[in-house]
Amino acid sequence: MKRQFVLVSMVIAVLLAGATLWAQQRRTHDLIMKDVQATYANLKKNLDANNTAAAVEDATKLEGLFKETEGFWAPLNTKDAVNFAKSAQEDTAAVVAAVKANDMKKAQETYTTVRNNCAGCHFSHREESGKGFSIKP
Amino acid sequence: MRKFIVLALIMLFGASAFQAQAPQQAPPAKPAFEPLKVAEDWVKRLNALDDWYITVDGKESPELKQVVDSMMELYAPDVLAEVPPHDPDQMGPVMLRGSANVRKWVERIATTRVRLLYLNKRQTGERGEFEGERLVYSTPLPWGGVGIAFQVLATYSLREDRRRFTAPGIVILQFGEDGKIHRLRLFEPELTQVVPL
Repeated sequence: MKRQFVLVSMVIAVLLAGATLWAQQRRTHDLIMKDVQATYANLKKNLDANNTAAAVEDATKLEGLFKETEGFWAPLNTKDAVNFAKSAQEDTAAVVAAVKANDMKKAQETYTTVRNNCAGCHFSHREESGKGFSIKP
Repeated sequence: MRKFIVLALIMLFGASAFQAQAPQQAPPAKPAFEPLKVAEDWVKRLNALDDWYITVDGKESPELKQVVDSMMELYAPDVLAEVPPHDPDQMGPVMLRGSANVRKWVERIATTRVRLLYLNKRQTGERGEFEGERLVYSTPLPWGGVGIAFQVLATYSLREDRRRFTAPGIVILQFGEDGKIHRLRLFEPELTQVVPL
């Protein structure tokens, strides 16, 4: 009986610690966006320089960042923002595939379509409020 | 002792003379009821319901409560409101009794709609003007207070998917002598989705 109690307590403690860690690891939206901006610029440089390994790395990172963005919007009752984030993931995955296939022309084309998702989401959900940008619901 | 009595009498006389000279303060005048102004105020507060943000950690900003509070300041606790339904399956209006229920309706607008644009429609007359006038019809109520009515063009987008809707509408507000809204009727028939051509 005592052993069971100890075991259950341990499981609960591990779950709680995991949940706390997960909550701490979720980054704020501004940090994600700054990371997107820097990675997106890097990806362009690497695509222009035909630096395939670095381009794949950047595009893969971007895909992850857009997944993080999707996670931010998912609980906020804004399907359009979630769809923009999903579409951006698909486009960055397509960039990865194109670069791996050594089709740099297609990679460049897909790169610009990623930006359309950014622009669409910013049009609906980003607002200049005088103190920087604010997130509209 | 005599000196003290004389001094006390002088002070008493002085005080009463001062009081007699002080101008009598009139009760503060009740501000005149201006139908156009209150109609514009109602529309302004309604349009402000989407003036709030999401924080960088994904929470609703404190402005959400502020804009809802600002709208609710206008209503009396016993307000009776007849408003359009949110549920697409419901036929006919929804009757809300009491400010707590009206608050839920206001909160629902604030949290589910964006780009709110309610316009008090203008009408041109026979004097050749081209700007038009905002017409607000008003009448004193038999039980005290004033009722007003005005046309609006109601336009908004759904927060969820950004679909945009528009409808011609009528707003009827009944103000009590306390200056608060005791009855609200908002009609938005013929709601149409706005689609790009």
